[in-house]
Amino acid sequence: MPAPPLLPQSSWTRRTASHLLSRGAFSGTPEEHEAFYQLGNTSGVAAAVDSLINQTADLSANPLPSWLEGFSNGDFEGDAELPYLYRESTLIGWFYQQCRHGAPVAAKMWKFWIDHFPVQIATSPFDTRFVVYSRYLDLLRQNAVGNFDTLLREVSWSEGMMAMLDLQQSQKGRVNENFGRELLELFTLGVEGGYTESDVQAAADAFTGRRFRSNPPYTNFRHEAYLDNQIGLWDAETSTWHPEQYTYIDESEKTLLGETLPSLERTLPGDPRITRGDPNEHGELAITIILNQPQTARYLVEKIWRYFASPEIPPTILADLADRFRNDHNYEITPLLRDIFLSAAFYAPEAIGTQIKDPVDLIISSQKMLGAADTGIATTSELFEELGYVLYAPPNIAGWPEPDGEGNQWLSTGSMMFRLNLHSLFTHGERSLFQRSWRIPDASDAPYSSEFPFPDFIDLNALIPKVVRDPKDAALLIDHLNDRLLPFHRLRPDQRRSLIQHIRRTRSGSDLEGVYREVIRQIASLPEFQMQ
Amino acid sequence: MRRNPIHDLPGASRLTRRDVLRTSLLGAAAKFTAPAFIGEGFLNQAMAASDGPGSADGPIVLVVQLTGGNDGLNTVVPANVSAQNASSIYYDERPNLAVPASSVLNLSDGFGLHPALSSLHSVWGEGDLAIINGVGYNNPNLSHFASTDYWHTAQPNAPVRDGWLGRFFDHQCSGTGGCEPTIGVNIDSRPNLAFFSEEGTAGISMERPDAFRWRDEDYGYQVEDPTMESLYRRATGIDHPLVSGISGTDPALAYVQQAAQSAMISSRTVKCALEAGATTFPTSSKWDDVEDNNYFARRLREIASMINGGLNTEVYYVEQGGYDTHADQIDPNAAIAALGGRHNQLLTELNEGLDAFISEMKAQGNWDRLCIFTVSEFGRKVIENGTNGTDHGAAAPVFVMGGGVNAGLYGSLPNLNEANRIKNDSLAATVDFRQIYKTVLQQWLGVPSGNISQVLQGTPGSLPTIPFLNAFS
Repeated sequence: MPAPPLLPQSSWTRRTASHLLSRGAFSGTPEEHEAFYQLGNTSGVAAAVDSLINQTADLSANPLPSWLEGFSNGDFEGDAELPYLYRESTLIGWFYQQCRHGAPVAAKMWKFWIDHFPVQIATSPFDTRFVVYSRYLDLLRQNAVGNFDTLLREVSWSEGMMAMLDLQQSQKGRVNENFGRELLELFTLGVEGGYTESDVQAAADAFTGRRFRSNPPYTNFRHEAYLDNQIGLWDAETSTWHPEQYTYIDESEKTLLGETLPSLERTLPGDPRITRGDPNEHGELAITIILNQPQTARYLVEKIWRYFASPEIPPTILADLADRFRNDHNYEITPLLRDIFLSAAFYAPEAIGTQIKDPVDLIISSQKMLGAADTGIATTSELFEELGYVLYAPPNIAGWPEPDGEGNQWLSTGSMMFRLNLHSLFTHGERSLFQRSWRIPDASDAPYSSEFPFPDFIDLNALIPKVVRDPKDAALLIDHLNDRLLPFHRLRPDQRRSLIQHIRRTRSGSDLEGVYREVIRQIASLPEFQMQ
Repeated sequence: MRRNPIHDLPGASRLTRRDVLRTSLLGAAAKFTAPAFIGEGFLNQAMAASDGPGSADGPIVLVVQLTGGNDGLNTVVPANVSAQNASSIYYDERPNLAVPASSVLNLSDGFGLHPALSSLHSVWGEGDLAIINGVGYNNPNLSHFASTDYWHTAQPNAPVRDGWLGRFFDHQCSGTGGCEPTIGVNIDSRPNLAFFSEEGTAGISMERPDAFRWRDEDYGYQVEDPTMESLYRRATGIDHPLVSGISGTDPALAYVQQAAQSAMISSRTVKCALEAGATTFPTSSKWDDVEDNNYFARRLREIASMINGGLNTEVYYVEQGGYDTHADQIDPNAAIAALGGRHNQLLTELNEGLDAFISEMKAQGNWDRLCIFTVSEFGRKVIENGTNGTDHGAAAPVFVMGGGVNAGLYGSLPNLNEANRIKNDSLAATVDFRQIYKTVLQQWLGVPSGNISQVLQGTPGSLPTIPFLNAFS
């Protein structure tokens, strides 16, 4: 199957370049936009696309929170004095730093999978939840731009998802349908994706008996037990593992999506041959059957397209991309992204500048465009929370709203008001934006924390070059800020005029810098700033 | 998945937002830009008015959404119902999970409330609680998200993208020169499909009224004339005489622009109401007894404070999450299993919140203005599952409370018999949920019967109302 029609070199413009940098990454300074455009201009569109997707995550620059690395025997041993909220904040900070400074495409996909496979940390037992959840985040990160087949199987065995959807407790004769249903409805085929209630039942039955050790002898965060999931029982009374107890597995023949999962006929009762990775295990077989459905590739391609490109994928593009994703790329994610970013349809005029930023895109693109300092763990956590994005607490198993334009669910009236006010944090240090300032700041939160003196949050010298700093040059300044802050939109003539007048009205001797801060805030607060 | 999976039905013809904007942009924009609408004069007028949409002593509806699919059978328990062997099937199918007949708070006809619902039982005793059994819809979808959408759109199994309350707001606001966005208030950080409409301009969603305001303070310069707020309002098109501020070409941008205008306008109204009621709230001391982590009660308290301040709102919408009790619904180690576990905890919080809220409404003298009713995307299966919980089901009971309620049991319990179950052990509906909506719209919100089809599009006109509610007077 050939790739969808490519973007012609002649269509590589500053606008299309900025579009890719905004969607495939987290936007950037004007200098970064210009350099990216020049790269595609001199070396070709493919070179620009590859420069984005070939960046690999540099973990050394982005280490796990240090308290995770030394774990032993449950979360709080040895680190008991580390407050719960501080742990939460550091996980958010880890994620934020990857988005802010890591490989951008991988970070965007990491964010996508956190949403696609959402796990609520509190579904895991209290004393191990940080280990379980951090491992889960790490699993999604490591597979973010890898292979969907691998990722799906990893998720299906993960302690995080098994706890989230009750798989840990589901057994033959006492089946819990939660995982089976969402596997079909949310993870692979989509609602109305061609399955029936009996397929839900069969999928639920297929995953019975999977267990992880609920009170494992962790020696550290990366202990091998993580890779040692198997079918069997953990007997908490005697602290022993009973892989031989197969009574929890529904071994009977099942029909899923018209395919047969053959009965697991054992020669010996308790034959321990069915472990993780055995292709005959019914959960593994179920995933194989599901991945063979063209609808699975279609569902994922549509969703990934909505995430990066636009609400409606043209039908022929969908058919091409889905076919290539499943048959040519074998569910490898990076080649799919390459197909998308190279396609002319990705750059359709109606797609450019028409996506509402999600909370992460909004914060990071704001910081890049304004040249604002990184926010620390507590500040970032509070910003994300006010915007409706609490990493470890998705609203439900469908995850967070998608960033599509039609009736965008990110924007309630309340969160819109927060978005309008947001930039007063960067321009004026407006700390009262946070109602719940109970998070514990650390050094990373300087200069935003109230623990520290009022600093320069933004680099006004960079934002307002000397040559346009005289109020007489107000028109030039406003145009400059327009280019910088609203790369896809022009201010309306009346907006432009009223901002120019506002600067010109400044009386001599008054606080000109304060006026400029306000002008920046006003532009960044316009609805157009919410678009990418 | 998308939030509105109905979009994805194959071959479904659908009105895109672009089409919607093309046809209604002018009307919507005109509403926002009409000087009479946003002026303080209008605000004061609206707050002082004694009738018409959004008056300070008109009817109020509070929708309480029990998100996740509340287990109806353990909420309104068929403890001693002999018809169709209901009780014996209930206790046979739920050996670990059932609420013992000896524990329930007796209603009538052999039904009893889960013991956590003591304050609802008091409301029952006072003649202000109606319970409608067997509520759902035909051919139920057991997905949370599809089924929630259907309850929001009031058009089950149909690809629509506007909500029944959004259409109600349009009905109230058309031909009256517009009304304020605060006609509907959804207490949530996320929007609610039930509030969406073609006009798309009425109804707001926010979580913390006290933080819902434009920041414009103490920056220490140039706040005389124009204020930064007025500069910004004008930039967004709100106070501009000629510019709508709403894109005619980009539907997503238009959506954000409308949200920004709505936020700027409604935040003033809310602030005004909170200030007006600041010295007289709260009236009930029961708020002191509410647990700190009862977020549902906290939201009800916010609603109570806005009602107290005379906010011109006809419909409030609030959610209590957590009802997806696949596991640990009960606590097998508790003395009585069904009186422990997650469901008991949820109902306790529901009960505690409603208790304080109802007490507050009575003390404010607003109880007779209120009609409170519960919704949930589905009930749960007749049978318990293997993990001390219940899986997704279908029909379930609905509570209606308020000064205008005709107390009693309505509808009928679906036949629990295995042969009568649908979709793997779920209950078939005996009452269409749109009958509840229709009754509330007609009796409480004053929608003329001839206009019901505008609000409940796609609902057969023959669907009867149910006599659980008197007309608002």
